[in-house]
Amino acid sequence: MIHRASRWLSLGILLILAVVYGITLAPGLSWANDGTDGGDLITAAATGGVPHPTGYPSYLVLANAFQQLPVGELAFRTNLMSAVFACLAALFIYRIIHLLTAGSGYQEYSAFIGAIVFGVAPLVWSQAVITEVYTFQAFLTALVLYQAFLPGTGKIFLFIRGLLVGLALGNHITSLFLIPVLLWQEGNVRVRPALSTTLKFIGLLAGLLIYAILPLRALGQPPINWENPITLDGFLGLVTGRIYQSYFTSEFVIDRLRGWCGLLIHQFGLAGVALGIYALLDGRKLIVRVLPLVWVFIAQSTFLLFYGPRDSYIYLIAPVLVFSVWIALGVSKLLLVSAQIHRVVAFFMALLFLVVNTFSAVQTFEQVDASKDAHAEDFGRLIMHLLPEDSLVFTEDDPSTFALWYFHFALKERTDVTILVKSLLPYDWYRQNLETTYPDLKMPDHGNLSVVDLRALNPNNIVCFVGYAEKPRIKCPP
Amino acid sequence: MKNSIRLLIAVVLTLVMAVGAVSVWAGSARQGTVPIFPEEFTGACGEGINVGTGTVTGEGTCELTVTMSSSPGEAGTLPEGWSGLFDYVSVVSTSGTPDSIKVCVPLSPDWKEKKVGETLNWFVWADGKWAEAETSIEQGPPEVVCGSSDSTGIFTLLGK
Repeated sequence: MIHRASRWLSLGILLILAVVYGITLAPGLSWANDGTDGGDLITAAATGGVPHPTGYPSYLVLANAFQQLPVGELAFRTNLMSAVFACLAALFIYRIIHLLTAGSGYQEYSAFIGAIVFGVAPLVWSQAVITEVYTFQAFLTALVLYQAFLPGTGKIFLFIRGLLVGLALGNHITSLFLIPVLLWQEGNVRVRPALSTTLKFIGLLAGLLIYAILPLRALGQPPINWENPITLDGFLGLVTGRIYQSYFTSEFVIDRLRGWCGLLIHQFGLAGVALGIYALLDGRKLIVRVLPLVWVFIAQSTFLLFYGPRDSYIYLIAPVLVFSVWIALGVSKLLLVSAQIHRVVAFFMALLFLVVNTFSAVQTFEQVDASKDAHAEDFGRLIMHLLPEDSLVFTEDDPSTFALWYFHFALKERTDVTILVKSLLPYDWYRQNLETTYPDLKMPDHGNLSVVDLRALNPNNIVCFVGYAEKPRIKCPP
Repeated sequence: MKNSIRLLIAVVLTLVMAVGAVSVWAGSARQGTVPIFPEEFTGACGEGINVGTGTVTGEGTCELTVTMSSSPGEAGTLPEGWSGLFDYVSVVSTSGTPDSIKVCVPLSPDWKEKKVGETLNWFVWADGKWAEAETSIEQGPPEVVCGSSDSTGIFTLLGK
């Protein structure tokens, strides 16, 4: 049963974060906070399509539900989903800390601090105000971890634990690291271990069924249809992120390790990091108690040391989640120690945490505020306005590609033009995709597509090259 | 462990982290969601090898590997007075010896004012030096500027 104070504090967390995210939420399509993929995700969700690998089926289902809301424009409604799930993730972090600090005396307060620390961490906040999969992933991770610490033992509960990990895998492939968490069981299990494992495994498989929607969507020949997953090869290529597998490298490990330290300090400040470490130094007993958290922290941190792209720092969101819990444990412990000196000391210590937290949130505001970001919208509208009639438009980078997909396919603007992604031309699935999306486009009978061939075979269409580097670039050679 | 010692260790570890920390996240800027365009292409002589924005054609019976790069690789500094207008196109024969190699790219509107042979020319790096490649403009669509050479090597389009 949830205590009345817990209910009020939970509501407080939701309200605080709803306001914080609400006033910084991007009003439309946004590239803020490394959010260039937003156009791909929004468009795929809205058009029954399949976004870039690994397909994100769980995300698609919910994003499409949010897109039905009768508020704002399409991109805003999808941005809203990120904010909602960031709030819910914080709520479950509150519950996790609540369970771990039971009987400590400062349970409610430290759980509240931990949840807010997580919610206003720059990385979390930055992803809560744009369209991306990461706050939904944080929510699912928090939920899975919460269940790991919940002393529930019923058969349905065990099944749901597996189901949620399956659905998390349907959102992001890094949820593979959540599978070992399933082995963790708090309290006495009423069912036999073998049955418990079987139920979780069945739940996991049931959750993974969400991936079936990808080939089903692809069968509808949507305009965004990465890897065209109607064949086994296409499906496996999509869900295993085949085109990104070469991105793994050990080239940056040392620099990444240093960057990891920098990022963690940036999220929580030196005091926050010290508090988290302080909590972990409580001894082996605590480490064993929070083993699922330790595992997720280490596994996800290790992953991001080796995944090459420059924006891979966003994967730190799971370690940030875990560290927020540790900070709360540190707060709880420090307040107990302070109270032993005098209750007034503990009171002022608690006040200090709140002030520091509020101060760092104010500092973060400007870094992550996407409410005035109009680069992507301005770019899309400008290009849509400038493009000559019936032109073939070759996009040259992520921002231009996904922004134009959004305006062209999702908002159905300038349906006369043909959007062609230069970097995708060599892929067979993209060729098939173009054949169904643009039946009038003439293509060579076989071989790789190239800009030269497409220009030669479609001499009546003006060709334009579009990109974005600091400012919009558009060239339409005569 | 005493609380004060724990706190001290935590502070020391945090300071160690802070000393080693950097605010830059190392990574490859070229690895985006849309994968980078392939840089290496292979094909038989006698048929044009599409290299994205252009074509490479070899004469004779041979197999070619074409590598696109924005850096000159083993090639030396560019001929004096010339500057690069396009990527470096490395053409290597993996089987047989081609009689000639022809590299063509669409003529950019920026280059239309230039005069072939004087302010617009293909060069090829072979045998340790840059040599002018026979440069011509072929009507389109699209209009292309082509460089031909008897040898394989690193081709690049230069302008003044």
